[in-house]
Amino acid sequence: MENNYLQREALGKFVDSLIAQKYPGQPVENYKDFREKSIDILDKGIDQAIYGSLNREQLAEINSLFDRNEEDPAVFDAFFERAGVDPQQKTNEVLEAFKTKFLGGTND
Amino acid sequence: MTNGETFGGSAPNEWDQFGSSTSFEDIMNEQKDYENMERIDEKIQKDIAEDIGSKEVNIHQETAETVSDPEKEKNQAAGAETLDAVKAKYEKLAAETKEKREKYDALYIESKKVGEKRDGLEAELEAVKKELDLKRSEAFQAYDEYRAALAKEAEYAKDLMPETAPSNEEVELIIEKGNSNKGMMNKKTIMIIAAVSTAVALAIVPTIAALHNRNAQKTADEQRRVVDFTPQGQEANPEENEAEKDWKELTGVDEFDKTVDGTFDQNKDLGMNGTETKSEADPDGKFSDNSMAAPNTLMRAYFDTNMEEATLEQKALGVEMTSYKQAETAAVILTQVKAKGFEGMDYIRAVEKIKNASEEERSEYQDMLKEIFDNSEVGETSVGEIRQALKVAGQDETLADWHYYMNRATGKAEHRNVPTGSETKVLSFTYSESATTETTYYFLERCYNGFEIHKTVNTSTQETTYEVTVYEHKDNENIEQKDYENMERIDEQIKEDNAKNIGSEEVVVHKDTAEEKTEKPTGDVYEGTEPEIKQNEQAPEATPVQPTAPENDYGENRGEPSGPVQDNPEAQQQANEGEIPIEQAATPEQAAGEFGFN
Repeated sequence: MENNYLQREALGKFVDSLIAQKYPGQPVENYKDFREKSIDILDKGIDQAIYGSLNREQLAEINSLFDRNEEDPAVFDAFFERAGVDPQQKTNEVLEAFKTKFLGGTND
Repeated sequence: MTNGETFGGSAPNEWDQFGSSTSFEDIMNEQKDYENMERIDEKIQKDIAEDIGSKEVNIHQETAETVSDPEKEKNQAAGAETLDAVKAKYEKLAAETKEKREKYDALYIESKKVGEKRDGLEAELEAVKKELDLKRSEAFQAYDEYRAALAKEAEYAKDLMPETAPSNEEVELIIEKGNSNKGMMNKKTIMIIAAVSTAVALAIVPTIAALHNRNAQKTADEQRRVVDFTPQGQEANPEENEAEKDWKELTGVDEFDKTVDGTFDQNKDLGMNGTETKSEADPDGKFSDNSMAAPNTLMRAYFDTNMEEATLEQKALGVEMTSYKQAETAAVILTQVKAKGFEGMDYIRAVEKIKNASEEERSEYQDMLKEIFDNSEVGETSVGEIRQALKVAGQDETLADWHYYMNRATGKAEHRNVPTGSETKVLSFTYSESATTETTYYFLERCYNGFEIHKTVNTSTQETTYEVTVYEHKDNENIEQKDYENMERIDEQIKEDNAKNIGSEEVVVHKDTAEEKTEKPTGDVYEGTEPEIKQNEQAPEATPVQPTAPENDYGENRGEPSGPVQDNPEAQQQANEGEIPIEQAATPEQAAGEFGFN
């Protein structure tokens, strides 16, 4: 799953940057478990933020798109526009929320 | 209404079954014939019935009379068979005729009825059509009203009723399906990369944004000129260097001159004394006598090679893995630097702080920076890779090397100690992870300005492992190096001559002008000695100088800052706004638990 790899790779970079800010000078390797867990949390959080913003009827609509194996991103763009949900904004918010939570301060 | 009008042009076809008749008149005449035929038929039948009995009698009579004639009997039998056949044929035809007649009668009666009703039907049809149009129009209007009412009702219902929130199970099902859908996964990948790029870039330094805003009207190339390193062997031209103007305007200090043109004594000004190191490129360790590059130079290089490039690339190309990798490199270094006593500062102020610090503090800063660079886990970044590459190549991977390379890039390079020639290898190392290839090359090209970088795929089984060989560029021939050496010798000679000949030059000037205005002195031969200094015994005794208020006391008299850099609480507050509040600190585990996605 190339997409899944790219998504985790990107989220990993984000988590790494947070770890570097939170614990400057500390080896990232010390936080391997946390890193993987954080990636899982972010990935799931993004999904929930996007799909959780849809009501039942909208879920049924996107479900029908999935059932017919729709692959055109433009179709999904149109769907989210109709649904009044900005998935990019939701994604940004999830990252920002995680960052704020994690970087409440430094441990200096 | 006539018959002709009633049946019109279509009548002949309908009546073709009756033979060659083509008009109603013909048909009516034929009708008469049929009636006659019927009467004739009845007469014939009657006659036949009467005649059969007489013939039979006659036959019997003839039989009795001609019993003795067989030929005659034979003929009589044949005549009886012929009669039966004719009778049968007639009866068949009569039945068919009767059938056709009945059909004709029915059609005729029907045609008369239709003909009489035609005009009325057309008028009625016309009325029906009009009514239909009207009804359809009303139906359309009603449909529109219905739709409008439906929408109103839906809107009203939406306001009154809560949205039908799906259950967690429903959402989970859709998430699972979405993560199996190629189109949605493509979209999600793009969104995540964009979000991460934005988040990482924003996390780095607000200063860069300010710098970009200030130079927003400039093109990308012009902005890059701000950090354009002077090529080796060339002197920076301050008059043509717009980057210098921008720099001074932005910072209010002359850092640009002191770093770019190489006149800045980093050891003296920053008080950084380092360990002596040696490398293949600098075997004598002559140019590695500083343990680290000046922070401003080094940081600027990071900014310029990483941040600006990353920002521009992201804008131009959307999202590129190498872009935020570069940005991350800068983020790792700079956030750590900022966390060590430079919170809320851009690197310009950080440099100022270092410069204005005490000797002891500067030493601490030096140790701090060195520690950061030594301990920064940037192994997956371009910086770390180059450091690793240097280590693999047997080079000193400490910051002394960085200092050396950065100096080369800024035009302060010392060609003399670098082997020259078009095919001279000056550095060879390996690196892996293809994602950072572009970053590595970019940085190397900056460091090795004027050099040529060759890449060959390593014999390793890993396709992403490369061997990089750096060669002196062909354009960098020995001529340039000779010029450098000659220039230095000439400089030294000039200094020496100046020291000796100050007095003689003054005399020579007088001598030359005297040739035009006065006669040339004859007995006074100049020997090139320094002018004699004599004490004026008759001069009045000097009085001690009393301190007075400065004429241009900007700080007090004009209310202007007396120095180039002043604390700016407002700017400081703005910078701090981009910082992370110290309170509410959470450990990684706490953050994971509290984030709420579990």
